Amino acid sequence: MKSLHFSGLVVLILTLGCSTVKDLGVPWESPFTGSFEKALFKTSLDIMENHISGYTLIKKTADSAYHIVFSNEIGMTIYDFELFPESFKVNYLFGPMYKKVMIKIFERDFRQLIYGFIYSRQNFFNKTLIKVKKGKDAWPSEIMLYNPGIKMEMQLQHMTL
Amino acid sequence: MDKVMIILFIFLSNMTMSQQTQLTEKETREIKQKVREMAFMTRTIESDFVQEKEMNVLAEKITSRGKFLFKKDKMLRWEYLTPFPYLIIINKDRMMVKDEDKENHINLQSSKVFREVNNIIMGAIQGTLLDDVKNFSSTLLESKNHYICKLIPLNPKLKESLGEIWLYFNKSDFMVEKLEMRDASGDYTRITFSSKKINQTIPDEKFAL
Repeated sequence: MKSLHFSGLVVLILTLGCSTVKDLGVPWESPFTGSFEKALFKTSLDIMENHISGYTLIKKTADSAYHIVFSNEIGMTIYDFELFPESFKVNYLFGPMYKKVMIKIFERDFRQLIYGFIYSRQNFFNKTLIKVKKGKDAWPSEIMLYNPGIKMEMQLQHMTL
Repeated sequence: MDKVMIILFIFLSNMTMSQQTQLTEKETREIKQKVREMAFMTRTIESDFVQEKEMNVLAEKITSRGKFLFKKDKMLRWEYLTPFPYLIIINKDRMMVKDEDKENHINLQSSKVFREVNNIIMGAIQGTLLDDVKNFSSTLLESKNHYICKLIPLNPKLKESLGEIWLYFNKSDFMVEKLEMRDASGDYTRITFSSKKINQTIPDEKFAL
């Protein structure tokens, strides 16, 4: 009975969905560096045939340090990470996703997204594609991240905070 | 820095606590009875809501607004209008979640799991969750304007995902006016209901899946 609640919540926040993106080349000019302070994105995350939607807040907390929080529409936190040049801190990661391999993937993808550099060791399982849709101002209106190795796709739609 | 945060947190917690008084067993029984009576008399609820996700460490807040409809027995329409549309409908044994063009349908009848989740949602809205001793430990407190029921899930995994649930009952009508989901980090999601209309006719079509 007890585990039923948890499983229920898992299924409750996961719905089906998928799509594809093209490789526009890396490294990319990250808008998160320089004078960046914070940004809010409407977010959809498709991961291993599951779909989670909600909002992501990315905030610079110190020089080259970032806080990344993703929560679903009803306010439940999916993940809460802190990214530093030399380390990655998991404050919270939704139970079923709490796996070493997932943490590694999130770290690598956010490192690439935010710092804008790529890893030297590139192969199918170690590559993330980033696609950007230009907006009216300097900010991209949409950023798409695609990790073909685990079929993870993250869509970030820029919002006013 | 961490120590400063902890001291500040304890200080603020104490300040909040000092404004709330613990109720006697007799008072608790009486309030629970009034909540039960109100839930029994309520056939429909129509209300606006504001949802605030407070991220304390980041000092940031995400605000969403929407409309909520409830009709006995077990019909719920939970609709976010801003900043983006998002719709959840529960109609007895079925549930639908609509995010932009994606729709997901779930059969609650085939899953005991979903019936339980459904019970939590319905119980929180009607306030009857304060009687759910099987799944929550509860404490009832009193503040100037509210009776506050603090519910702690007994299942540790549920507690981790959902945190504590605080239900704020209006003192005059014994209905839930505000609810909060509070996680261990101090972040919380607060849902405040406004423009509430009780027992008005709501057509079944509003809950069509």
